[in-house]
Amino acid sequence: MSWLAFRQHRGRMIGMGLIVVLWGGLAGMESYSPVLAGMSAVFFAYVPLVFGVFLGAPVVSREFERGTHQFAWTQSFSRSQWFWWQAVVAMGLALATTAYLGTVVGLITPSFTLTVDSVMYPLTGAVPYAWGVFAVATGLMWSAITRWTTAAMAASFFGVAASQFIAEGLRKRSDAVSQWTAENLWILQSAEVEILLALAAAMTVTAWYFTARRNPA
Amino acid sequence: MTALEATGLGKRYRDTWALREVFLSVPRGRVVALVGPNGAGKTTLMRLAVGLHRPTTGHLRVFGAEPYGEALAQVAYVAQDKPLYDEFTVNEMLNVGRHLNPRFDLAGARDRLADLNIPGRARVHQLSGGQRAQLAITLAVAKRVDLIVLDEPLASLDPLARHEVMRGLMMAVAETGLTVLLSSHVVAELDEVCDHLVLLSRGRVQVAGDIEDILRAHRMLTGPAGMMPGGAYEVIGEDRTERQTSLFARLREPIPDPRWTAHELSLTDVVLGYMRSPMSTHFPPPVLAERDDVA
Repeated sequence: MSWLAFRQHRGRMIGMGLIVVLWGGLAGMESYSPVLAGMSAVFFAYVPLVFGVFLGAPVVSREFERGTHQFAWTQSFSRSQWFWWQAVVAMGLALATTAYLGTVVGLITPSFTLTVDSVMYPLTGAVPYAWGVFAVATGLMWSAITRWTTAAMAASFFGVAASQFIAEGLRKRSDAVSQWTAENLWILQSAEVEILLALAAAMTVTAWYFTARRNPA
Repeated sequence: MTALEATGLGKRYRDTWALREVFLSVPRGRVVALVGPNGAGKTTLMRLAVGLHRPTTGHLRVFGAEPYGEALAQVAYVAQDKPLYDEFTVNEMLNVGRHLNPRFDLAGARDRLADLNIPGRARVHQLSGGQRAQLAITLAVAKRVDLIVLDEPLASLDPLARHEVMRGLMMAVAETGLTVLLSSHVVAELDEVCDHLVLLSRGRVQVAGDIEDILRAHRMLTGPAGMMPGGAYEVIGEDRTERQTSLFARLREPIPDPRWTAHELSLTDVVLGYMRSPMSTHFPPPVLAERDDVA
């Protein structure tokens, strides 16, 4: 089952490779011209959108659109096993890309003071990984519910974007938080990570339910 | 042992029943023709048999087990459009089969594709309709299952490709003794390969049984106009003209009346005869109940 999941993700791996190259270039430009400093960190906010739209949203719906679910789900493995491998590979790809981007941004960013307003806030600790998993899970859920890639992509895009806005509002809802330093901010960050992972788990289970338990069309 | 057994099987999509109160028992090793008008429930029955759908009522068992989880290793399915991964090469499709099926016969599948002149490096979307069908059927056969379910395997194929596909399938049947369930709405081309018939009509089984028995039991009776022959038979359809009466009938014994002649019927004639009178109360034929001891 893993072979199929990896083989099907080959195209998406190339897509993530493009992001990797893009960020490498961005980081290179930043280190030569200080005017651009911080760009790679700022643009990181869009990466979860890419994960949701291109890693999560096509997984189940592409099978329905091409009818290949009838092939994949009648081999010797259960639909659940099929789904979990797809989910694991998609999320693994998102985590690996996040790890790379985090490292690149970390390398070219000199020491910084972590505050809730800092562009580095979403890039430190477990926060970027939680967003990666959350975005893929959003894509998976819409993919399994709509069974229509275009709709799933749009729903994931707006779903992840709206979640980012809401998260930002929640982080800054009290003035006291703005004064916090790294010593206290980890509490905020771990709360954010826990909420994101809980939501991601709920959405992934929903996606599994709609894949494995509902009748295919 | 029965290959396929349905008891009180029903499947509802929202408000409409695609299948209702289906009782069916197909012995192992048969090549079953599943026929019926469009919308009779053929595809639904097949999808239930391979676990893609779950029944609303009743049960469908494949070799004694419901076709989910582990039991999936016992059935293979080729859907109507032969869905395969278009961007994969033929060799990669074989790899998928090998990784997804513990009993997969990779060498056998390679040989078969070589015999059919299907290049391993070709991408699936480059294959012709016939080659694509052959690849899909090869993958299903190589899974080494006990039951292969094929939904309209011959649709959208030219006559030569139809012949080749059927020949390939029959070779696999001869080698392994597997049970095949295949659907078609062109009955004529099933005549030579199938030995068991299931005719669905409006979500119910109208006729089921071994084709030999069915053909032996049915006759077209022609005789003088305005008369009915004596004897034990049931009329399924009739055609009366001023000059003669034609009866499509199931006989229990030969008609003694010399004024009547009994013509043998082809499978197509029998199927069409039943399709023309879907409200006929002659279903399912008694062969159904007698099958268990034969199996």
